[in-house]
Amino acid sequence: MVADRVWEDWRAKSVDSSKPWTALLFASELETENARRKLAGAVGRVVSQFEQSQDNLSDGVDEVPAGAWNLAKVPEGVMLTVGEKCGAFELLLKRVVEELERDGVTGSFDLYQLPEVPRPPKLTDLLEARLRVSGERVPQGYHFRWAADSDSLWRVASVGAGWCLQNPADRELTLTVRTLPTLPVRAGDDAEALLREGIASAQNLGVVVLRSICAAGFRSLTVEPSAGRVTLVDGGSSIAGDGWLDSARELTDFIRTASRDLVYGFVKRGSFTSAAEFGISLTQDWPQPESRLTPRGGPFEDRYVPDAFGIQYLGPGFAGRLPEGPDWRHTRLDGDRALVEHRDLDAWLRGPRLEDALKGITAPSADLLAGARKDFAPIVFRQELAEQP
Amino acid sequence: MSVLDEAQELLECHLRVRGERRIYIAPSELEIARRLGRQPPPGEVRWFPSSEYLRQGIEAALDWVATPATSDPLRLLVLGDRQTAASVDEVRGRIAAVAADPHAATFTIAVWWESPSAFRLMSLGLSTGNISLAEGGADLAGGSWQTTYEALLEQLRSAAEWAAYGFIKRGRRPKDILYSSLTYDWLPAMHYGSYNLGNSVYEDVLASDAFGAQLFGSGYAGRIPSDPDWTREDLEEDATLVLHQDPGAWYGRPLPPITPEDCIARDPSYPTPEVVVRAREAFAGILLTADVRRKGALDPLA
Repeated sequence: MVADRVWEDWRAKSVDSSKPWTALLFASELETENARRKLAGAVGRVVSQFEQSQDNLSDGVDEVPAGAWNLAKVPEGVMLTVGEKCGAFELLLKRVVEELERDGVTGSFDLYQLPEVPRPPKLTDLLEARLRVSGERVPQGYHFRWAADSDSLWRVASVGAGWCLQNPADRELTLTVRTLPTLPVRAGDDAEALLREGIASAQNLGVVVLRSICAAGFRSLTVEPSAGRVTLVDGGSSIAGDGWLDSARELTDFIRTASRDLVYGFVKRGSFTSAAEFGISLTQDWPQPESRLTPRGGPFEDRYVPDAFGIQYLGPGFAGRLPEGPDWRHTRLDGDRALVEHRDLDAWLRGPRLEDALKGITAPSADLLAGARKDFAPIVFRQELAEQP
Repeated sequence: MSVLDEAQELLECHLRVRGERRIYIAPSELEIARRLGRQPPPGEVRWFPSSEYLRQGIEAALDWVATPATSDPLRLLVLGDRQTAASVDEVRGRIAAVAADPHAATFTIAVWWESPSAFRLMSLGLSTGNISLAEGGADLAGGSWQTTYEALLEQLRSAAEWAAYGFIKRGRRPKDILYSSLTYDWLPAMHYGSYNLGNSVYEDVLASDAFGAQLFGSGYAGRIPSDPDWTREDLEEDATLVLHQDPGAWYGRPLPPITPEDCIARDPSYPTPEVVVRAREAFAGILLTADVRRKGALDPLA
């Protein structure tokens, strides 16, 4: 049931690396979803039992990590990836096979050749819209997390997928679910259904990224269900020069469309694709204020903004607290919601000029940011808010 | 596949943007020393290009790869990532984005176009002030070198406004231009005293080697040797262009075969072309040695 080269490949990788990783293909006569369910069940039981057996080891016996075992449907069957320091690969895979046989499932494991997929550039011209979906703040340990309403999350993600798919016809679609390898979404695949499955599997941890990549650029939709975060990234040649204008308009239209399911959102310029997709661009791709921005503010974005930006969407929690000042234009949306836009969006969204960047002048400029931060100061998140009971 | 993945005959014009040498100590090292109440480590000598001269150098390099104008997208290497850009303006914006991030700015950027008969390439080290312009391909390999040489010579001449030093060399490994083509795509450095010759932080006053076309900035004033094989042309900014009388001997034919082992072993029996042997003798007084580099002084002439 397991091809010899699976073992040989793992042994060779174990010699080369302390963290071997492999992708296997499970092929069976079962319908793919049924096969995935059966394999997921077998893997879950085997890994869980093994981890329990590691709980009460005798003194001097080292714990053996089970590693990370993940599954995804692929056109050829079910892909099983194993990595993150799995210390008992052969034992566990044999047990998975036995478990499947006990369940009456026959099939075979072989190495899976991952398909080549296009990837967005690491550094490029991009606009990022980071949105917090409606939900509620709930305690988590000593801190808080934002628990998004699952229907709202799906509605925003679904509209986001539509925005993503507006890229030209030469696009190639890919989907990344948690730590699984990025896989192509083929012409006959139902992208929305795959996205929905991905969101379900990342319910408690990780992100799902749907990307549409073409010659002129790329669009990506990232959903982080456990934080209620949805991020849209529009990047590449299409954003260069005046390209930001159309992009900003479309992102703003998106926010208007989705606003009933959002508590907060901003649009910013950036350069680093992964920082935007993973929701860490404010610490890695944004001019820092004197007291550095903190990621703790996420669960408070229904009432406090992380910083000042050229375009912000402020949900009902900001009613009566919108920043004033001649530089800001307010657009009222339904139910105490508002879009707050700076009158000079070019200064926020065009990106750095070469002569300025070489002199260490940031984009947006320090003066522009200082003024905006002053205007937004009453509603900017402060660390002490997260420490109150 | 692209020119960066294969051997291609080429001419390269290397330029060092004007700036200054300073002792660099990583901010994290300074912070650790401060917290522990210790003296910070001695640091290392680095070249810091002036932002205005760097801008001029970047614009010259962008002009180089934008010629001749084509509707095909330009190719870029940014953070080790291969991309395309629809216009020079877009490339300029991408360079600005790299420059805005101190970590990203430590990576070499390459921009190029290629066709079946030729390619043009620029490489840019934002933090080092290293700029290289190159042209090569099948036409050059077929013996057509004069046009390329003249075009690069014009670049070398006009770079006197913003460069502290420069030279033109022949090579065949385009990818090496991104780091330093002197290490493994140049004749073994018999004069240097060690292996690992490269573009150094002392280029404003000490040349890595002798070449058929050399731009010496004001740091070489009064120290450039005279020799009947060479002509001198005074340029603005107290710079001097020094050209060998027989450019064909330097640029008209491929370099002899060179392996990394040749560069490391520096066997005296290596068939260094006679014109290079004589040039190294003529310019010995202003050539960098490994000993100077090892000492790491801020001012190597002090």
